[in-house]
Amino acid sequence: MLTAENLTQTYDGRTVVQNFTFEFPPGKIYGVIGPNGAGKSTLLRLLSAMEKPLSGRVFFQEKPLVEPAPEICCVWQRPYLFQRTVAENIAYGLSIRKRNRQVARRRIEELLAIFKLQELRDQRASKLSGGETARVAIARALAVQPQVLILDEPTANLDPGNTRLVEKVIRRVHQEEGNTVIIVTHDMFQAKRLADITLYLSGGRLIESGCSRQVFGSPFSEETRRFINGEL
Amino acid sequence: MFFSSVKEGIKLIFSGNPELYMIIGRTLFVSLSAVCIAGLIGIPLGISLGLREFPGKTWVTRILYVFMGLPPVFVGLIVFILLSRSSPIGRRIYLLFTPAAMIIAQAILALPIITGLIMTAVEEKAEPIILTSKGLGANALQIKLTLLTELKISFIAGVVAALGRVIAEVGAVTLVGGDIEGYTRVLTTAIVLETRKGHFQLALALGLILLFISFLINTALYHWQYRR
Amino acid sequence: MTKQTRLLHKRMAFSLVFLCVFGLILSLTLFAQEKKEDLVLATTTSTKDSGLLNQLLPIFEAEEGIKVKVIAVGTGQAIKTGEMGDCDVILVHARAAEDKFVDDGYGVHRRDVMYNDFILVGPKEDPAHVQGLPILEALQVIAKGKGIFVSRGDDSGTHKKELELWQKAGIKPQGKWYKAVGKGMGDTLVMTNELGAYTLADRGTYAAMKKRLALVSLVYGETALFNPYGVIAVNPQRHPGVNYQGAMAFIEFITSPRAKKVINNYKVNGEQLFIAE
Repeated sequence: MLTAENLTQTYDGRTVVQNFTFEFPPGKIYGVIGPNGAGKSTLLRLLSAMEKPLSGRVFFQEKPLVEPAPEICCVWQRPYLFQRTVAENIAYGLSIRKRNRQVARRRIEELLAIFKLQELRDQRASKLSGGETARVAIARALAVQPQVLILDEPTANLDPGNTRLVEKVIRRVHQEEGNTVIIVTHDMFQAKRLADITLYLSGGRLIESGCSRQVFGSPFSEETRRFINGEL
Repeated sequence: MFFSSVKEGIKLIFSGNPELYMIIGRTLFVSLSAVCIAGLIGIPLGISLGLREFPGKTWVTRILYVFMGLPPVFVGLIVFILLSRSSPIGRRIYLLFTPAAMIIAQAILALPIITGLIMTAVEEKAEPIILTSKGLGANALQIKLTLLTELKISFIAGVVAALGRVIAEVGAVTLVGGDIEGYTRVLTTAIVLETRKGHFQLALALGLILLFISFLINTALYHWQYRR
Repeated sequence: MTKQTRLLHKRMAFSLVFLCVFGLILSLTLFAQEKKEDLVLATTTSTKDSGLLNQLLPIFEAEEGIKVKVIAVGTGQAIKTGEMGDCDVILVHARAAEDKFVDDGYGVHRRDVMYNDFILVGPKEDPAHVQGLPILEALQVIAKGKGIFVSRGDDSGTHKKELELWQKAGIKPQGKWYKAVGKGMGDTLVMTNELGAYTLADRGTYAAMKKRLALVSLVYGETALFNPYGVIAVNPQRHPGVNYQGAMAFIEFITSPRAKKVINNYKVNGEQLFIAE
C-alpha cells in the first residue's frame, strides 16, 4: 500500500503540489489527469521519493518512504535509454539486483516478445525510433516485476498503433502480476480506458478522485466536468 | 619542402634510429603519465563538480575555464621555481630537469582540461541518467557506476583533448626538462632544437611523426570505446 | 558486449593506469637518486648547437665516470639557472655578467676556456655596403637606414655583445630598421636570411648553418669581436645540493691541454670555430 499524506512541494516559492493526501490500495491502475502545470509529474517524483517534499510524507508498506525503493519502478517522460543494446537495457534492473542469469534471460525474452522487440534485441538503443524507445523503457521497468509501476506520459508522441500496444501490455501485465500502476497522462481517454481509479489534479491540488466510470460519467466537481468536456 | 619532409618522416620512422625511438617512447611516457595522473584527480573532481550545486560554483567554473587555457611556458616557469633548489620543495626532493618534472608540469596543464570538460558533460547529461537508474531501483554506488559507463565517451573525449594538448606543448617541458639529450628530450623539444639549427626538413618530419602519434592515440581510444 | 570482453576492458584500463602510476613512482625515485653522480651543465646554445660539446663530453664522461646533462639555453637563462642552484656548472660567454655572478657569490672558480669571434653577416648583395668596414663603422652605416638589422634580443651573450658594440658606436638601436626577435642564434639567422637583413652571429652557429643560408660574413677578425667563453662552478655554500666535485672535475678537464687540443681541432664545414687560449 502506497499512501501520501499532505504532500506539498514548491519550486522557487511557487507551489506545484499542495496538500496532496491519497491512499493507493494495491493491485489497481490509477490514472492521473489534469491540465498542463497541474503538478502531475512532480507528484510522481514525490510518490517515488525521487524528490523530497517541502512537507508531508509518503508511506510504502506502512513505513515512511524517504529513499527510492527497489519495489517501485518509474518510467519518465521522454525516457532515457542507456547506451547499450535493447536487451542490455531491459536487463539493467535484473543485473543490478543480481538475479539468476537463466531466469533473467527468460524474462528478457518474454518481454522482447510481448513488446515485439525481438528483432531489435542487439540493436544499439540510440538508433531506435520514438515508439521503440518508449516500448524498451517500459519493458525495462517491467523486467523486475515491481510492486508499483509509475509511468509519466508513457504514450506521449506515440502513434495509435504503438499506443494500443503499450496499453495492452500494461493491462496484461497488471492482470498477470497484480501490480499497482500509477499513470500520468494528458490523454484522458487513456485514463478512461486503462484506469480503475482516476484522479483529477489542477493547480497542484487534488480536485476529484474516484472510480473512473464515475469520474468520467458524473463528476462531482464542476471543474472536472469542464476539463473532461474539453471546455478548459 | 613539405612533401620531401613527409618522405623524410617516413624514412625516419623506419630508419631504426634508436634515439628517435627513445624520443617517441619518452614523449608517450611523459604525456600519458601526466594525463593518467590528471585523470585520476580530474575525473572524480569533474563528476562531483558537475553533480553538485554550491555557492561560488560560477566562480569555480569561470576559473576552471581560464585555467583550461593556461600558457604552457607559464606553468613551466611556476613548476621550475617550485622545484628549483632555491625552493623549499627542491631542497627536500630534487626533480628539476627530470622526466618526473615534465610529468608534473604537463599534469598541471591537463588537469583543468579534464576537470572542466567532464564537469560540463556531467552537467549536461547526468540528470536523466541518474533519474533513470534511480527509477529502476539502483543504489548510490550503482548509480555512479552507471554514470561512468554512460558518460565514458565524454570522459574519453576529455582525456584525449588533454593528451592532445600536453603532447604538443613545448614551453613547459623545455623549461623544466631542459631538453637533455637522451634523458628529457621529447618530440616537441627536438623540433625546436632542429629548427634552431636550421634543419627545417628534419624538424618538419619530427612534427609529422608527432601528428601521426596523436592520430594513432585518438583512433585507438575512440575505437576502444565504439568497438562491439 | 559479453562479460568476458567487459572484464578484459576493465583489466586493460586498470593496467594502463597502474603502469603509468608505477612508472611515475619509478622515475621519481630512480631519477631523484641518480642525480647525485650526474653533472648538470647549463650552457649557451652556441656551444651545444655547434656540436663541440658532442666531441668534448664523451671524453670527460669516460675519464671521470660522470654523466653530463646539458641544458642549452641563452646566457641569461644559463646564469639564472646557476643562481637558483639548478645546475652544477655553467659555460657561457658574457664577461661582465660572469664577473657579477662570481662577485654576488653565486659562482666560484671562474676560468677562461676558449674564444670564438662574432661576425657581421648579411645578404650577398650587401645593400648597405658594409663589407670590409670596421665593425663600428659598419653598424653606423646600417643604422642610417640602409638595411635591416635583426637582433637576438634574448639577453644572451651574443645579444649583450651586440648591445656593447652599439654603445661603442654611439647609436641607440631602435627604429624600423632594428628588429629584436627574442630567439636563439639559429632562429635569428633563419629570420635574417628570410628578411635579407644583417645580424651579429657567432662564427660557430653560422658555420654550421652556412650551407642553408644565403648570408655571407661581411665583417670579422677584429679584437672587438672576440667572444671569450668562461666556465664557472656554482657555489656549493650557496646551494649545498650541487655536484661541486663534478663541477671542479669538469673545469679541470675543459681547461686541460687535452681538451684544448680537441677544441682547436674542431672544424665545421672546414672552419675552425673555437680557439682555446
